[in-house]
Amino acid sequence: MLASAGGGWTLPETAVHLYAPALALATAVAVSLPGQLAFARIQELGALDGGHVAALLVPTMSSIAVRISSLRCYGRGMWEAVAFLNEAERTLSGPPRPEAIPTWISWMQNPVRKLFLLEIYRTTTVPMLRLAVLMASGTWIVTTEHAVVPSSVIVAAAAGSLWLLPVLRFTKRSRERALLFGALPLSFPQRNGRDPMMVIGLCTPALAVLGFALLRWSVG
Amino acid sequence: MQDDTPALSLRGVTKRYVNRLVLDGLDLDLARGEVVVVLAPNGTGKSTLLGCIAGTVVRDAGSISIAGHSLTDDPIEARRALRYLPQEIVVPPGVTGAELLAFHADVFGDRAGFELAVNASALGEALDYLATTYSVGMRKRLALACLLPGRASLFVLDEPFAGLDRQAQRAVVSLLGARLDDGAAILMCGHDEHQPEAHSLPAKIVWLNGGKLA
Repeated sequence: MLASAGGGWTLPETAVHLYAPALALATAVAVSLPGQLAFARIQELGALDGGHVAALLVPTMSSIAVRISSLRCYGRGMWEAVAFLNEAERTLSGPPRPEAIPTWISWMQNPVRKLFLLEIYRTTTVPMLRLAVLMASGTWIVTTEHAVVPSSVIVAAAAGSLWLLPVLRFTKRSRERALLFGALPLSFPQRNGRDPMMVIGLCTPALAVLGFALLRWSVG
Repeated sequence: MQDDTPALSLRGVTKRYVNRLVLDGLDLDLARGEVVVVLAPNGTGKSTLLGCIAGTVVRDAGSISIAGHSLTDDPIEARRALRYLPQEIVVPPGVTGAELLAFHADVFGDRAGFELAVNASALGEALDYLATTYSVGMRKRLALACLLPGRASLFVLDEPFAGLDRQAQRAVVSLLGARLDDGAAILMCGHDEHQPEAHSLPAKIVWLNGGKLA
């Protein structure tokens, strides 16, 4: 299940690509926590003492100062370190041997679409889990006997976004693919790294779920 | 019987970048079995010329035919007769070397060519690794092996020997020689007329100077 949820990543790769960003997010939350507590105290008591003001302002001002000064102080070094970060990521990821092509992708007859699907499957985060969440959301909206309320529409939109946003990021790499496909005997859009039918196919599940949710909400 | 149609025919090919004329009405014919090496210093339009022939750079004027197929009017058939090695080797993320070779074999409808490409790449078990993790030399070997499936009339190679070790260079020369014997033509470019690898093929050298071939 972990392998499926990892979208073809090995566990060390998952650690680099999923857990490291999660750690960064948790750090950001931790830094912002004193500020949030200070706001809560203002709401409840209407006032702050000096300690709370400091707890509110110091992390905020520090973050702003680091943001302004870091590029000036460390900008060049930061970009020089990117190569080392890439190397460290490769080392942490272990042997770069991905999992075998899923059977349903190997069934594809069109080589370009097969390559697109493989790229999406292996480079977007937990694709099958995201699709399962979207399908579950759609199934619930279609089959529930309860009235569809605005929060249900928001959940459907969130599930749709969860599926679509990483996929749409893939569509932005068309220029790189044009360098690969430009001299091959393919249709004009595919030579330019695009496949409108593929994009429509990928967007359809999310749009269908959201459309059903809106329809059921509008008819009450 | 060998086809007499030229592998490549250029007429009046012109390309301008803003106010700089890079290709100035070039004419060139390549017969089957012929090798032409275009030499010029950096930044003088070699890659632009090869990109125009491969259809990855849009020319401003002129016509290009590959194996008798116009690149403008019959783009798919023209590209079916063409194999292009760009200077910048792009590998898609999330794809292994073997999967990329299989992709090229499928595009040209030549599954038998897949085995040939696997052997020619000499990448061994690295073919099962993600191609994005390859070194520059390994990427070049993979890109050269990708050119092998299908039956090409014209190979357009942008600095094919750059980044390859001696053994790999000899292997490339051997593969290209076999393709020449099959009736293909080769157009490649480089910086240095003393490239021994290029000279081990029966090559005609032309200079690109001021947008003109000499």
